[in-house]
Amino acid sequence: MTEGRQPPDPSGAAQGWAVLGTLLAGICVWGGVGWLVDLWLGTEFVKAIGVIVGAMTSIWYVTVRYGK
Amino acid sequence: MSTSIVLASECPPDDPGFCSPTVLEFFPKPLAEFTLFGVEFAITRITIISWIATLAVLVFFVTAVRRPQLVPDKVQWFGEAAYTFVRDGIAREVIGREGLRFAPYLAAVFYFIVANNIMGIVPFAQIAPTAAIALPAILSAFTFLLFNWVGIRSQGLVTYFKGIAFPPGVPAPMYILVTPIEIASTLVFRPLTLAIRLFANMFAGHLLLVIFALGTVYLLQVGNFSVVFAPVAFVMAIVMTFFELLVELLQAYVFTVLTATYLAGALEEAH
Amino acid sequence: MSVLAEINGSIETLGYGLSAIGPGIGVGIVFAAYIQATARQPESAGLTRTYLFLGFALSEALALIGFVVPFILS
Repeated sequence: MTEGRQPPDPSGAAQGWAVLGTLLAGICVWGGVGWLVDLWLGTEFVKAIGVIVGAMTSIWYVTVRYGK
Repeated sequence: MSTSIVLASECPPDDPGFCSPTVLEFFPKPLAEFTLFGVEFAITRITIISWIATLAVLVFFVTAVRRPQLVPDKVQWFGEAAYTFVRDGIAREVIGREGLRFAPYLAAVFYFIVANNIMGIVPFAQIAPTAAIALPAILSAFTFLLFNWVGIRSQGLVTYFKGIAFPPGVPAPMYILVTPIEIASTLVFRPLTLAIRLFANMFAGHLLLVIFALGTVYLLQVGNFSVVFAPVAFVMAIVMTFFELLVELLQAYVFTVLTATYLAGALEEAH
Repeated sequence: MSVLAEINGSIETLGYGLSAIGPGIGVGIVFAAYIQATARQPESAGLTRTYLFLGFALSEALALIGFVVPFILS
């Protein structure tokens, strides 16, 4: 992939919103997957595991992608 | 108690106390209703305010470029400065050289949102049409379609979606976890937050202003010791009006900058 | 035993409001530290940016989880 993947961002505001969107997406996507697994298995706690996994993944991804 | 016809909220007749504005504030009585091709339309106060705002922007820019002169007169200078602000400050700054292609669209979006937002504090209008979710949702839908279309056209369908789904710098096994997040983030949450950010700011600002204005009138009319707090409510209404002006301009700017950023992200692999 | 005080209505909204205090302060502290460090030594801005986003994401995640928990545990 080319160097400098992100366009020049003088105020940093776009990156801030991108981070927030990634966090929200991580929590909602893996929370949703956990909820579907809950429906499938009939359990109650997989939702919470999904949310935590999603949060951890998105936090790690934010540091990798934006923290260089 | 009778509030002026300008403030759209109405107290139900059996409630003598302070009735705070509800969501019904944003659904005034329609002035005309009709059905076209099976879709119901209602022309309300808010629709007319939106038309007036759009007309104002159109008239301003058309007047600015009609019979242009080398040494500009006032309106032309103002129109050029307004367009240059978006073209240089947003399009060129965020997207680069390619941005000039999109500067007209970005300027149109920016000034459309500014005009509609400003109606939130203009007397006799005092509601921003962008405080109804429909307007920000459509603008955000345009942004979504635009940046996807531009990305697909400049990079090809497969490369573009692979670029979204498989971002660089992630070790291979983590792609299982990261790819759904990235797809959801780019295709769902960015347009969604774009619309909701504008909508929520305008919605909340309008409700705040209505509460302080109605509060002032109520405190003045209730007739007991509470009248001492009426100046507080009045001052807060004035302060919030200025703050609302700042928020309106800022939200229009943020919307346009983020649209430009998503466009730049869709274009950048192409060169 | 008689009830002395009771809260009615939407406890979830109250819960989110309370849970957003901490992350709000936390994010402010993270960015304040980054701004001060960059003001003292501008060359370090690139080095500390990793920690900036790490700190922001960790603090913000707590606020977002606080927003989502009522829907999970409903």
